[in-house]
Amino acid sequence: MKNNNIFLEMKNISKAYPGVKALENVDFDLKKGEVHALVGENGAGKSTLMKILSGFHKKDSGEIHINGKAIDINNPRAAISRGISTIYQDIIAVPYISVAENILMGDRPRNKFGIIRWKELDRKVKKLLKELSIELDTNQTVSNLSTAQQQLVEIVKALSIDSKIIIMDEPTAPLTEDEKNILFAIINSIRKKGVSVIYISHRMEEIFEIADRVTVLRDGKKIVTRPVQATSHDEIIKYMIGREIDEMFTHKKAAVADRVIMKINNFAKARYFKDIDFELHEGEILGFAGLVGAGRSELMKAIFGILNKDSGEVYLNGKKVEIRSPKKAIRLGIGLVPEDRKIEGLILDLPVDQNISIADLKNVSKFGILMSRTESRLANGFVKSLAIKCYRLSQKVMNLSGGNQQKVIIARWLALNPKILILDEPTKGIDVGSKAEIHRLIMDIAQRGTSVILISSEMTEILKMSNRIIIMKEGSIVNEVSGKDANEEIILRNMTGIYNNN
Amino acid sequence: MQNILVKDNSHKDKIKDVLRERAILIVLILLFIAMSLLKTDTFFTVRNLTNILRQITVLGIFSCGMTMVLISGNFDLSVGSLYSVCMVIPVLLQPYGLITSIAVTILAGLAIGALNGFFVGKLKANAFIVTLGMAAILQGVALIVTDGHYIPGDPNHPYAFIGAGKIWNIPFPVFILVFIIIISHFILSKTTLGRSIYVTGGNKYAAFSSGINTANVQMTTFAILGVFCAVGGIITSSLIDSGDPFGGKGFEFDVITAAILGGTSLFGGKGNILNTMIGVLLLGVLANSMIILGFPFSAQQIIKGAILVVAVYYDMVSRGDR
Repeated sequence: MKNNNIFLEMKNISKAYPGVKALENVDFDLKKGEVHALVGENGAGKSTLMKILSGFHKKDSGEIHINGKAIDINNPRAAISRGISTIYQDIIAVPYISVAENILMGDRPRNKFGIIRWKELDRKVKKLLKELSIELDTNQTVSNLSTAQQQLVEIVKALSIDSKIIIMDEPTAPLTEDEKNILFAIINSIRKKGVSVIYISHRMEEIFEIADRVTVLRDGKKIVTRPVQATSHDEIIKYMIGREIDEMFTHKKAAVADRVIMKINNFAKARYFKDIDFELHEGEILGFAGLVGAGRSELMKAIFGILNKDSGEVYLNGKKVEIRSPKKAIRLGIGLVPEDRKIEGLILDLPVDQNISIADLKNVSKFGILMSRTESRLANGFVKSLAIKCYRLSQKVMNLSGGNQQKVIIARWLALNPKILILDEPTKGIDVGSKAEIHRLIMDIAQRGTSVILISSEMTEILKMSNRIIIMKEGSIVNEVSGKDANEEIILRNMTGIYNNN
Repeated sequence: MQNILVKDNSHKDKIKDVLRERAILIVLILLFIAMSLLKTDTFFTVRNLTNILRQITVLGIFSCGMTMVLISGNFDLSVGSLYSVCMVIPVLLQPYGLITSIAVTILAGLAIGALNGFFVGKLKANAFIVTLGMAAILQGVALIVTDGHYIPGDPNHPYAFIGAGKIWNIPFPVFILVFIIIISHFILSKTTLGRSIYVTGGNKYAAFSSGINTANVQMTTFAILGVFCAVGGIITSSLIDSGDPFGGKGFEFDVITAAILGGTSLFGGKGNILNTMIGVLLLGVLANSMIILGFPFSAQQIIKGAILVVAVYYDMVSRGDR
């Protein structure tokens, strides 16, 4: 190594999950007092790498050195004791105790009877805050703080235990511009004290504002590490995309009728999305691209009647409709395959057939009495046509693999013959084989005339599947491109906000 | 990341489920055999066995309703007080005729159950708080209308048959219990309402977003439980031919214990009527045995409490291992 103040070195890190190589021989290093940005598309391996560093996942192979010495990090506690702290996007401060107690959680000063010495605790925390020039009321209950302030509490907490490395995962996502500036001022002040920061973000402009170096990961491999002065937005985006446009994109998209089946007017919900207008055509696959948190899922939940919107209108076939509950949406021929299948979709304790028929109970019953033969026939049909792998219909759905669970939920909605099917991250976390099957299935559905809205954070998926792509950023639609003209660069630029028109 | 292999734990699950169901059944059978051998002359007699049957009738009726409420993901602590109220009302209304006194009581049970359900289902209030509050209110009502005294009934009124009558030498209430078991089992296993109850308790969000009116489903379970409470109150007040304003005190405890013992999950989504009935039988035989063996009341309470804690703990553990 030519640089001698390398503090952390991760060498040849590999990690595989069944069916997926998450990391392949990745190298990463961090200097003392450096802010090192880590970028890559969703699924590039950033989180996995950081979870290995913070002890949540075990690496399959590779070495981690701190100050030139090889160390083992087998659990989160080991990481913390080595001075590695992580600040998550969804803050985990203990909400109902004071700022001071939160900060010194693991190290509360006690007298010889084990009683906490509150005054000393308060003094210590005040001193810490002063050193960092952070203003926080130490007696305030953490739940009363803003997200930004809670984040500060987490940072101070990390520093109080003498962290040498702080990992920040999309720290600015929940922050306003002013709050972001405060955060950056603090990052600048702690790096002067010799603390190193690993900064994960999708926002290019921030990386160029705060980072010293940037490392790009793609498909589980390290592509490049560059000082930010020696690179540009364009270059990094090229590295992130990397691969040539492969044959996947040449997939022939069926000609789509121009008939508008659904029109969304002026949808808004505070904190989630605003000024949303778009049209959905008959038989098309309309992709929704955007970063996690861009408001896509919430928008769909509002259209479907799960979330209450603040304002907005839905027109189906030119007729205005009011959708106040999923029940109404279902009656109008709309289906929604949710993002988190286990939490939002499946009834894990119930068998496959009962999970499939839930939204369609009317059609498998007469006068409120279930007709079990009709129900089995319905379920059996989908188990065959979607190739759902289960031993029998009465098998509990919790014992199916992720891909098959997802097919069960898709079957639930197909049972209704929906005119519009919204799919929110339909292939998230499932194996490659099932993914391809689900892609084929979605195209089939569209070909038979159902209009599909596809939310996906995976670039290849959105490009491969969509006839049109709407790109959302921070709750607004920033652009719309046709499937033919779309490429990763346009979408990535739009969703990260480097420019807003092509 | 998901495992790409299809895991079939269902076989293991099934064995575990069967063992669990049998565990309670085995305990029941062992206790029954032991008592029959030990106390042949007092326990294993037609008189005592009929007595047990009679004693578990009301518990069984309540537990059917409670099982539905539990499966839908809630619970109801007001059933003891509602029981008291439903013992007092029909006796007070005896002078207005059999039909009136029964009909009004059942309507009262329905209304109070539906009110609980309205707060919990529609207004999304916490079931613990709502039904605890309702329990206090109903206890107060029972005291007001009775002035805190027993209300004696008219022993020659046809009302007395409901609790004390026999057909083919079997107490009439047992027929009511069997009828309610059949109805409840049918609702839970064969109707869209029953399925909606399981789905709502299994995953309320998923149920709602699949078009199930989860508020109505929850309200309905509470209303059914309310009706069953009324039936229980009618049977007991008829049997003892009086209205006891404290008669149902603490009964919610037995009812929830029976359902949980039968494998109904306190977290919703799991359970069935037949298993609940095994729980009911076990509690009934146990209570009878403890009396025959001369256990003091205090010891009986401690044992019942311990059983509930163990059953709930078991429920939690079997949840955690998935």
